[in-house]
Amino acid sequence: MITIGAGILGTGAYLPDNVLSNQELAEHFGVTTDWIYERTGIHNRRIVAPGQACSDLAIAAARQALTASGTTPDEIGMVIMATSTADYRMPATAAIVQGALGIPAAACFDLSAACSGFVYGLVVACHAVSCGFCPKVLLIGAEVLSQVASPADCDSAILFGDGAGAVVLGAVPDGYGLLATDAGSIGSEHGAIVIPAGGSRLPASPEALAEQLQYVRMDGQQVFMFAMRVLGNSAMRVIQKAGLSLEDIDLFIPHQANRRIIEAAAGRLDLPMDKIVIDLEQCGNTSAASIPIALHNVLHAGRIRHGDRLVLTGFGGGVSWGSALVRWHSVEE
Amino acid sequence: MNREQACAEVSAILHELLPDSGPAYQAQQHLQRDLGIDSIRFVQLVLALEDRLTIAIDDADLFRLRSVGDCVDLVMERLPHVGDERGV
Repeated sequence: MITIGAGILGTGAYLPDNVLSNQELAEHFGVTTDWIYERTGIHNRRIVAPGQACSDLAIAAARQALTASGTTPDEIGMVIMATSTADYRMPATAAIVQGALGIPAAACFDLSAACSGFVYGLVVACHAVSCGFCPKVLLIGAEVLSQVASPADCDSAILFGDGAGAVVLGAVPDGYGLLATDAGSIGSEHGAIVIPAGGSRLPASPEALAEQLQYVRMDGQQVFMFAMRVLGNSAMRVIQKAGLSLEDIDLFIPHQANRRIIEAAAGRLDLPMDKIVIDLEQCGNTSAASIPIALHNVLHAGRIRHGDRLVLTGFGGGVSWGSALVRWHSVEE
Repeated sequence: MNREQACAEVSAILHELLPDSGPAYQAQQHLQRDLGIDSIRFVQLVLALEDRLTIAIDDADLFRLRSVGDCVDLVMERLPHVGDERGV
C-alpha cells in the first residue's frame, strides 16, 4: 500500500563520445543511408570507447541526477541498475556505481527486464520510497548494446546504441509522482529477443562464439507488431487505471525502439505526434536507457512543466512491457 | 471453414500484399525468408487476417506466425469449421 507519494526529483544522461553514423553502416552493409533512416528514424548512434563499460556510462549519468535533485550520496538507500549488458555476471553493476559515487550502505541490485527495465525499476523504486524503506532511490538505465549487436547482422547494427539515463526518486506531495502502473510479460515467447550464449543455458564456449551466439537475435516482424500493439494498449490501461482519459496526458515517452513502431502505435491511438517524444535520431535504440535519456532531454528542452502527466512505456525482451503514469512535480515548486 | 477454404483465404491475402508472389503458396514457406515479408507487411498481413476473416489475433499469437501454414493453422483455430480436416 502506498503511504507516501513518490516521484522523480532529478534526471541525468550520458552518451559516449564515439559516433557510429549511417554512412559507416551503409558502406559496411551495402545499403543506403536513406534505407537505414527510413526503417529506423536513426541517423547516428553513440558507441563506447575500448575499455569503457556499462558502469562508466551509468556513473556519469547518475552524477548528473544527484546534482539535479540536490541529493547527497548518504541520502540514497537503494541503487537499481536496469540493464541487459552489465559489467559482469556477478557482482551487480549497481554495486560498482554505488562504490564509485561514495554512496554509503545501500541495497544495490541489477534489474534484468530488457527494454522494460527502466519502467519496472521505477515501480520498485517508488514503492521503496512509499513504504519507507529508504528516503531516496537512484535508478539508472544503462546499456552497451554495441557489444551484443553482431557486426554481421544489419537489422541489429543499425538500431542499437550505447548510453545511460538516471533519475533520483524521493517523496513528493500527494497527487504527484507515480499514479498508476501496468506491466506484464509473455514468457512463452522469450525466444523472440534473445542473446543465446553467455548464460547458464549455453555458456560462452568457443563453439558458441564460433556460431556468433553471443549476439542478440530478434524475430523482427513479430516483435515490431507486438511492440506497436502493446505500446498503445499498455498506455491506455495505465491511463484508465489512473481514472484519466487520453486527453489528460501531456506527454508520452515510449521506449525509443524504432521511429516506425512509435509512429504506428500513435496512429492506432490517433494521438497527435507533438505529444509523443521521439528522441533516437542521434543515439539510436539504447534499450533500458532510452526512456530516462529521452526524459532528461525533453525536461531540459522545457517540454515538461509542473503538474504535467506523463506516460512512460517500455517493451521488449521477455517479451515484456510496462507503463507508468507520472504526474510531474518540479523541485522548485 | 475447412482447411482448404482457410488456405484460399490466406493465399488471397498474401497475393494482395505481395502481387509478385503466388497466387499458390506452400504451407512450409517462411513469411520472411521465402516471401520477403518485412515488419510493415507483417502488420498488414495480421490486420488483413483480422479484418477479412473477423478473427482476433492475440499478442502471443503473433509469435506463432512464421510460415504460411502457421497462418492457416491460426485461422482454423479461430474460425468455426465443419469437420476436422487439418490433414488436408
